[in-house]
Amino acid sequence: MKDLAEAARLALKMITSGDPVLYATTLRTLLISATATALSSLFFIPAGAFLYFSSFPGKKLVTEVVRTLYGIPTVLVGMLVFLAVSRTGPLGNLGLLFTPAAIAIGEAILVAPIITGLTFSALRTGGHELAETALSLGAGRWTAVLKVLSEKRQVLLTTVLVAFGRAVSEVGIAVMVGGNIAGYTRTLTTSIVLAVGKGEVARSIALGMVLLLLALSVNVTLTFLDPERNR
Amino acid sequence: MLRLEDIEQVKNGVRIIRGVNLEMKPGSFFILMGPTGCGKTTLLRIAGLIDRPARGRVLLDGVPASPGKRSGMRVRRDVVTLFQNPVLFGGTVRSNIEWGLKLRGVKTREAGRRTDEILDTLNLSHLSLRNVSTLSGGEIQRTALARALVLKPRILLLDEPTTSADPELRKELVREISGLHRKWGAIFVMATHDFTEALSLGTHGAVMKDGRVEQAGAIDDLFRKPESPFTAAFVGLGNVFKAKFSGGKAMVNTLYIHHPGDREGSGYLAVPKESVTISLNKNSTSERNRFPGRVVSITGNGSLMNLEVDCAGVLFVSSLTEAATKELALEPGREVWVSFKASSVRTF
Amino acid sequence: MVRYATIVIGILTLSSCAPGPGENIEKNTVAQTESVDARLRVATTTSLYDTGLWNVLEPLFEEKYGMELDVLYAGTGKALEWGERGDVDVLTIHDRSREETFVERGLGLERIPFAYNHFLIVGPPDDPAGIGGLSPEEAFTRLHGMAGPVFVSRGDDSGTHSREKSIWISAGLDYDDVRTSGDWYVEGGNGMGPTLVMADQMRAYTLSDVGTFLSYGNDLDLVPLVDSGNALLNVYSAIIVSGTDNMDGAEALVEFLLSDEGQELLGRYGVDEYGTSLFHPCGGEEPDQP
Repeated sequence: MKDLAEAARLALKMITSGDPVLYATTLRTLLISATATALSSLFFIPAGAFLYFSSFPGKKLVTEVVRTLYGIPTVLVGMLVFLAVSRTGPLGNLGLLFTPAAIAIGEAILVAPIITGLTFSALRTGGHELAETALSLGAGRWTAVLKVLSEKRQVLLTTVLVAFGRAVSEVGIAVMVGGNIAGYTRTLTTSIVLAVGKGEVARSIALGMVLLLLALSVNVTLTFLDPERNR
Repeated sequence: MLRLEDIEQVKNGVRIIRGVNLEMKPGSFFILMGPTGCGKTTLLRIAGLIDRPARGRVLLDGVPASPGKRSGMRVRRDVVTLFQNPVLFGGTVRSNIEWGLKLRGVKTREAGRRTDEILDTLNLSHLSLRNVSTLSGGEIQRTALARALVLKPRILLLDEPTTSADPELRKELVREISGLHRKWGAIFVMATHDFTEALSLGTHGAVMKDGRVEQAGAIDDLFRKPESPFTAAFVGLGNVFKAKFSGGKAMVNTLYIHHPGDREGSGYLAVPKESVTISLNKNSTSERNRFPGRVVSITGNGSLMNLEVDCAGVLFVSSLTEAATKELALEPGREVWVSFKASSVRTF
Repeated sequence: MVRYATIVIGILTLSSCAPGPGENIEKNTVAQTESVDARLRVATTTSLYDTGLWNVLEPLFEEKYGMELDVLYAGTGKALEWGERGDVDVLTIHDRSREETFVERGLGLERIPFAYNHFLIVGPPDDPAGIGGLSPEEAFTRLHGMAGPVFVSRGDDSGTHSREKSIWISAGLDYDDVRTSGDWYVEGGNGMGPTLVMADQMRAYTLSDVGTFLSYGNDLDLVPLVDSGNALLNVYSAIIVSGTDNMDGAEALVEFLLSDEGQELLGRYGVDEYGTSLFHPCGGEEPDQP
């Protein structure tokens, strides 16, 4: 093993000198995670809204289950998606295994409970009142729900960012259904796994720094968005 | 015409509205009255198409307001509700007021013009671009009123719009609402606890109890001819009269009645029945309003009795304890004196 | 909402066809929507992957045949499972008996040896167990039952792991007993590279293919102690998965590996960096015993 400080110096140089593989991997990671988050938001912000606005027996149980699934292990999702999209699986003929799309789908599933649950929580403060106000002014039910979501856009953006943070930092799904194919399905986290395995300390550190930087910028954005802070 | 047809509502397994049928004609100002929990707000929410009833229909000019259908959507655009505690959308006063107009596809320029107009009417022009998070309670109330009124709906439902307002704002709101109702002749439906508002604004009304309509009709009939003990008890007066006011006195039939205030012209006058005392001779009381009369009827519910006394054709109702009734040996036909303080007289 | 949907679709589109700009070692990404079959998937053993050989083979192959090659690495066991599920098109692995079973079961077309080298038993330079110069079986017998962490096994059902098992057996030991006989035997559950790193950290012995060992050697304080004996012959074969929907691509890859260019490249790989080649080409024939 080389000296750690030396490795850190090399890592910094990789970042500052624009190491092409490092940058391509970062960009790819961002795209995959953003797609996953967007895809999941598209379905599960409405799902959270539905959960909030509808009433049915067992609703409490469902919300509890959703909340429990916040911490669903990534390898579990990875395994399920692998079994589903593998050639012999039910979705095998889509040929999705070992593609960025498969990772995005897996990550979308991973963050679905977070998006659903946080949307639900976001609406709990005043959601019904806003919806009824929209209804009272002549809106249809759909328009009313959309108006509430738009009124809550700041909290929802926070939700999306939290989900993105989770997607970007997971590794189990990316390895299992992405296969860590160089230049295609290799993400920051899977690169780190590989680099550490190979004993490439400098590269591991550089990758780790970029990942940390991403997580940090998500966090800074979240803080910036916090309405309490804006007032 | 707005029609509520066989409306039933169930909440947590309890029937909170039980078979309500009501009709409201164009130009009418309909008052919903009743004690807290009688179903006024629930009924208003159904009429306002906020909640779906468990049974029954809401029809506007015979068109059912079924959700999802095109015709239902059109009805929805014609019905606007102002809640008791209105919620504003994020943004400015102006963006709140324009929202409903944009929803209806009103062009930007036209929406701007109408918004300016209503802002001006409600003295809100100076707040036009203020963020709603900086508004006071009264300003929120008026913005919400403007947001509802700007839509010029054919049906405007008001759920106790003045309860959270201070007396000054209250008067102002009543004046605005009344003026706008007269100006564009839509159907206004208002739930209220306040008889002053009911009598000064309403043309028609209904008294509700336990999810049912006890009595509906012209507003003065509700007060003057309660059909059930409950209505009578609820409107609480029994003593509502048409009156001519002049020179600090009111004339009801041939009786001159002293009252506070300086009202002129014709209107209504009411004396709460608790304020009406009965005595056997003239001099035992010091109230300014004293009239001789004859007991017409004594009806009782428990310890409290209602006594009707005819004074020169004017029927006064007095609320007495059973003990007092016995002590005075009151019975129909007995001659008595009816008296009440000038300060207990309310005018409308 | 419409605006939002547009953004989502935008992102989806972007991600499905975004090229990896400036990737010289890595290759460009092709639009996913083009055709699923445009990509050829080869599952390779970690020992082969960790040498970096595919970093050289892949761009050459892609340029020559004009198709995208996805290189997936896994232990031989997992690679065989991928093959069985139809998730990859070609396997390049090194476990003769399991490869033969795979072909016999009709899961693969044919086992085609394309290169070989040797396994090494490596350990700390001071060789505390004194196995230097012994036969593989003798060396394993001596390591068996010593105190402390002495031997790091791949423990991942890979080709190297299977070879390790067969050496224990030919040394006259029962593998399950070996596995459970004490702390001296460490099951890493990792690829070849990480296992070497682990052995280095623990100052222990391990069985490694020569390729991975050489490519990691610089950073490790490990030396080869046993490097001869039939038991250490390591043959890499290519197998086309039956029923692949990219038969053309699969055949092209095998053809490329066996071509003069491919074979020469295999024979030369590592000379520049390590002074010795990592593989011996064997052109589709079973290599002679050393």
